[in-house]
Amino acid sequence: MHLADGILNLPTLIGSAAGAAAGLAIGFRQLTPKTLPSAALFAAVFFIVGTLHVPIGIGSVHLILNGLIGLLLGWLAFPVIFVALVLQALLFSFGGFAVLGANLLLLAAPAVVAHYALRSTIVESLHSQRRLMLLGLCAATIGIGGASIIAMTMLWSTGQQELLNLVVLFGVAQLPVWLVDATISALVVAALGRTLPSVFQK
Amino acid sequence: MLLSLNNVVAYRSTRAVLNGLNLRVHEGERVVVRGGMGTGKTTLMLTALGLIEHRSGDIRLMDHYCLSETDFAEHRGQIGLLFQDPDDQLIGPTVLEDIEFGPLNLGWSAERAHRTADDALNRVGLDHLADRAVHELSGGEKRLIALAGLLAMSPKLLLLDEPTAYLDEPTAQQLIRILIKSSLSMLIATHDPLCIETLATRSVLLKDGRLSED
Amino acid sequence: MSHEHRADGRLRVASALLVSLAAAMIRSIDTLLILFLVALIAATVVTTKSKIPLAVLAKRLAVVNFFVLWVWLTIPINWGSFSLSETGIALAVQIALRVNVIALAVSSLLVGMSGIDFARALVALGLPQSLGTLLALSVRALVLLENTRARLEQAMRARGYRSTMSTRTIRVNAQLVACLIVHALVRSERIRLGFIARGYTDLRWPSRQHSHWYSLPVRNWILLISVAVIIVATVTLPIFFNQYDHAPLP
Repeated sequence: MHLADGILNLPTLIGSAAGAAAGLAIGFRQLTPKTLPSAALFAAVFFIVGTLHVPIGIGSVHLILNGLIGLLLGWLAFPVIFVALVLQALLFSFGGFAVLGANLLLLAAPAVVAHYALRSTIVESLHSQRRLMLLGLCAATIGIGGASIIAMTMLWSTGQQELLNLVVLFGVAQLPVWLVDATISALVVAALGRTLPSVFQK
Repeated sequence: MLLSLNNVVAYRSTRAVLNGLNLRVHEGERVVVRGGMGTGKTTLMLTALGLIEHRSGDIRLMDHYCLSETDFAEHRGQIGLLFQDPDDQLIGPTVLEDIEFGPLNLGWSAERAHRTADDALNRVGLDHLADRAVHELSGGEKRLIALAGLLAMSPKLLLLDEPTAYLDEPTAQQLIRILIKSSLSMLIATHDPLCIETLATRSVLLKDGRLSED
Repeated sequence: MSHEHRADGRLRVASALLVSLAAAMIRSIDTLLILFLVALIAATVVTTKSKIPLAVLAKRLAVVNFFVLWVWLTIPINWGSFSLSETGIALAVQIALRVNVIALAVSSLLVGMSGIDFARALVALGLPQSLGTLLALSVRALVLLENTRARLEQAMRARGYRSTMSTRTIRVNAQLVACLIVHALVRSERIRLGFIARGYTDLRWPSRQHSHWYSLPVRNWILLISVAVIIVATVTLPIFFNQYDHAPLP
């Protein structure tokens, strides 16, 4: 789901960096000595989850789970995903630093939307495994769908005709990602609801 | 012969931890491996199951030569490895789901896996914890549940890495009783005198990457 | 390359940011090609001097270029007529060069930099302290959780699990993720208590760099200045040669 450096033009990079900075500013306010340790560990979880791959046909799909992370963290998803992306840029040279803002915006904004759209419903649904699974699926749909739409908008906004090919194919390529992410999110939300419901009640 | 390591060399990062190691475990034996900290007891267990790649030598599981991951994967199910830290081993959200993990990997039906898991939980005396979340268990309970997860797979051989570490005496004794009752062959890495006294039919010393009979 | 011979962390990170931003803006293929060659030589020299196997650098490049492969398979093709587009090819070349310049530059400028030093450098460059603390702590958390993940996967294999294209694999991956989340939460609570036990009340760690910008030895500035000069030179040289080419003959 990451966009690599070198694809987006300067206005798009600046615009998305501004959006990401705004999200970070809100997320900051929730970073306190109390929330810091769990935020750090979630950044590590998000990083590690991105390295897990599920075999699909001849290839494999990397997990993203930004919807699930958002569900659990809300606005803290911005600083947490920011840190995970910085570590990826440092350790793997993915995505570079110039496109960090864009990648942060496309992953974290839908995460926050998932939180506000679904959190209260999850708290009311802790007694029902089926409903929890459905909510996990919704979280993934908002997460992957939202990220895809934002990424496609960014690519389209560069105004380059040749990149429009990439926009469509990018969208299509996210379908297997959504499928796997949604299934795993559903199962994880159900499992957490069963064994650690307090994680949804904070 | 259940397990055979012949002239095995295994490294951890750049250090040769097993250096031409020879070991055989026959049916009915409970072999204790003693050795100080950092001598390679855990490496021995992981290498025996192909979880760490060995540089040279040969390994046989249930009399089958295991050269590649595919070979190991085919025969691993008959050997149970109890990790030193049960937190490294427990993956299921609840106790029963964790114990079912192994049987399901062996291709057993959900019904059979459930029945076997129930039975294994009974054998360790913790059936009242079936629906408990794994992270809510005490250290001792986690160790026993991890063991139940292995027993549920009906193994022929158990590899036990410091099985009584961090356990209080009553729990350690309970664990040892369960092990003796299972009548399984075992390879046990330990320096607990209680374990050695009550379990060992043979004892070997791991030093400088090799084993010598005590 | 010994620690004392490396430039100040802030300046290394600033140089990496400068290269990333410049490369993102440059459109000229000539310029990108020169930058790519310079970055490749620099990365090779730095990697060798740091006694890191070149295979590590090659592996990083392979990962980054997997994305470039996708770009080559999509952008140059006119999907309406299934023909090759010249502008598409030019764009694909541009993107390929840019991605590699940034990957090589980051590899050479930040070689051997620990996550904690990186966090310190970012804080010194203006990143809010809370984010710097989060970054530093996340580096440690990553090591902890990655070890946990590796051991869990080892234990899964020991219990007969094999990753295949099946619903079982999906269920098991879900169990693994749930397990990691639970580990993370349980551990984070223990870490928080450990912090409190050591008197932690505020987000002040890691501490900022103590040396002020103006007291840094000159050699630290050489790196940043060199990077800036290279970028300016590679941008202006092709323009200069083009002007020369178009200059009227005497």
